[in-house]
Amino acid sequence: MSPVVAGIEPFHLWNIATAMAVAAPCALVGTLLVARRLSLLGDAIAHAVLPGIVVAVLAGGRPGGWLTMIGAVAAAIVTASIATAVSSNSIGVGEDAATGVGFTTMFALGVILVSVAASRVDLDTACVLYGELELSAFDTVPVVGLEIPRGFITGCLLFAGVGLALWLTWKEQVLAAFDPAAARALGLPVTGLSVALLVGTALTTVSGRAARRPAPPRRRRGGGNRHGGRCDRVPRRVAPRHRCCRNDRRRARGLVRRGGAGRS
Amino acid sequence: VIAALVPYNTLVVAAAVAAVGLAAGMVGALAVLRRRALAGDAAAHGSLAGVATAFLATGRRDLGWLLVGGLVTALATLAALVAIRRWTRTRDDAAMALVLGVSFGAGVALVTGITARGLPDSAGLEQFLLGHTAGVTAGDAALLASCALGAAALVALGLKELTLVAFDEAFAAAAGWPVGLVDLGLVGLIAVMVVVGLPAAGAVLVTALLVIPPVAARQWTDRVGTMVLLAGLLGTLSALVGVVGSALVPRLPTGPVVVLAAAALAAVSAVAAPGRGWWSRRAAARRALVAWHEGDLLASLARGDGPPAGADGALRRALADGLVARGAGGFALTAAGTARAADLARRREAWARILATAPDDARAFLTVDLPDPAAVIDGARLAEIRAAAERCR
Repeated sequence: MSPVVAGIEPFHLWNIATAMAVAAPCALVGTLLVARRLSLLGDAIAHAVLPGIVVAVLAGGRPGGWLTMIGAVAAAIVTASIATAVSSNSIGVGEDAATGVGFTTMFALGVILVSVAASRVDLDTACVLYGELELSAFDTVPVVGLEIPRGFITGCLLFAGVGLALWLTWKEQVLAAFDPAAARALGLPVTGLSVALLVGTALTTVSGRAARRPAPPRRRRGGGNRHGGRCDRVPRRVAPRHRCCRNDRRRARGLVRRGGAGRS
Repeated sequence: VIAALVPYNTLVVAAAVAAVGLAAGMVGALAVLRRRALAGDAAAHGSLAGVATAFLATGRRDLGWLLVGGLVTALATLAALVAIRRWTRTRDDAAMALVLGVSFGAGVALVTGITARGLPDSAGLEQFLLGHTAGVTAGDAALLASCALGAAALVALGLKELTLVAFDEAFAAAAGWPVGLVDLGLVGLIAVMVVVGLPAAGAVLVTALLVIPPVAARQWTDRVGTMVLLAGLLGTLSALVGVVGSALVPRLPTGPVVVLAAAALAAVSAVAAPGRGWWSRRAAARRALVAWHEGDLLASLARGDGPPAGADGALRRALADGLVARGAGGFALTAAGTARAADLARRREAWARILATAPDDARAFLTVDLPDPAAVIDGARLAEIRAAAERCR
């Protein structure tokens, strides 16, 4: 690690790049969410994917793998279905309350699943709330001879995918966001568009969790940390129980010390 | 006797969570009506920064000071929410996401900084938001109970103002009520509830208790006062069910079981509540369909046509009610049936006129059982509509 500027290491720059790469698709999806008055959906989904991830891991999924991704998206769709059902006219409460009912129930279900299956799933609930963006630079994959952080790659791929999808359906999405009745009258698949947006939101929310896994010298996993807007609190799977955050931090300090930029 | 049967710890936990459930249900009912259901979530996350700051300032983990710090930033978060709503064009949901994200970000940054420096006594600070329901002491329970009673009393005192602002903000402002102040009062109550409940219940449980019992209570009543009381009761009930459930089954965490109990209560309410519930709406729709078919049947028989297709159920009912009799040449109206058919035709005609001249009134008052217009529409207004219909003719 040779300093680029005094005190700034390459991994600092990678951290910044990763944060940017993960924030960008959030903003793309977020614009439509705000237009649809669903600003808190990302926050809700970040909580609500927990049972989906636990079930996927119990079913043999690799953390960060396709199975957990599918589990998370399925849980997000279940949550949104609950929220939609609750926010229907007959129930008589607003979307905010409906979202609140959906995500707290799903999160509680997830925590119970974790407790019941504790011997088979290691998941520290504290780590559901906090992440370690600063560790993301150490989980790299080689791309044409360059060691590139996994989170950065995932973020870029997602940005490209979400960007392409939105570019192709932008007109329809905007119409469905501002006047769903007109969109339905024009024959647009409004439910399909909503589900697509939801899947995009879920993927965006979950990808950080999958991507920000630090290199596992001893099967230890960290998560992402996004300090803003809808994209905070990414659930992640960690091992061993109750120790991940502190150990990750200790390890981070160790790494930083070795790099010569540490404070302690 | 109860104390002899139930372990002391379970009793304390039950008292504490029940107190949170009661007060959160009552405060949450108004928050839900004001579309601030997730303000509790924002307050919970906003309190983290204050907890961290209080720890930095005092240098030790004194629960009292941590709570004071948390309360200050939770209030600041919600005050920012009210201010954003008041002075910008940002909508409720976006404003909520904004303050939640920013305040939680500040909290995570502070807590991460503290724990990364390994300050003495700082371990577990990041778990503050999760709460330890099973670790509640008798002192905590007493504090929670007194706060719950205080919150309940404040809700009762300000019920009229809170209701007014929740349902018609513009009217309240025009009539000279201090809308901003009432709003601040409501979010203040939410913040106190959340911060006091956090150590015992955790952020998600408090949010759930603020939202789910009111949603369940909403199914049973259209009156605010009743809904507030009912939400408090349902919150208490789900708290007790959750505590008992987690005490009976090993390894089941209390908080999430309380949330699931509340969700189950809400689901039962949404299905079974009279009036709003799914079952009763379905029954009403079925009754309306039968009534509609009966109208068609009577009209058709009055014209001298046979019974229309698809009205077999209505025909059976009309036969049983003595409106229709089986004659030599098929079905015929009885005297009562003729009178009813004439009445129905008159009402259909009247509503058709109202629909043509005053569609807004028709939308507001016309239901599928076709009531007499004079019974549902104000007399003077009905006269106006009739005059308009005459002019049109």
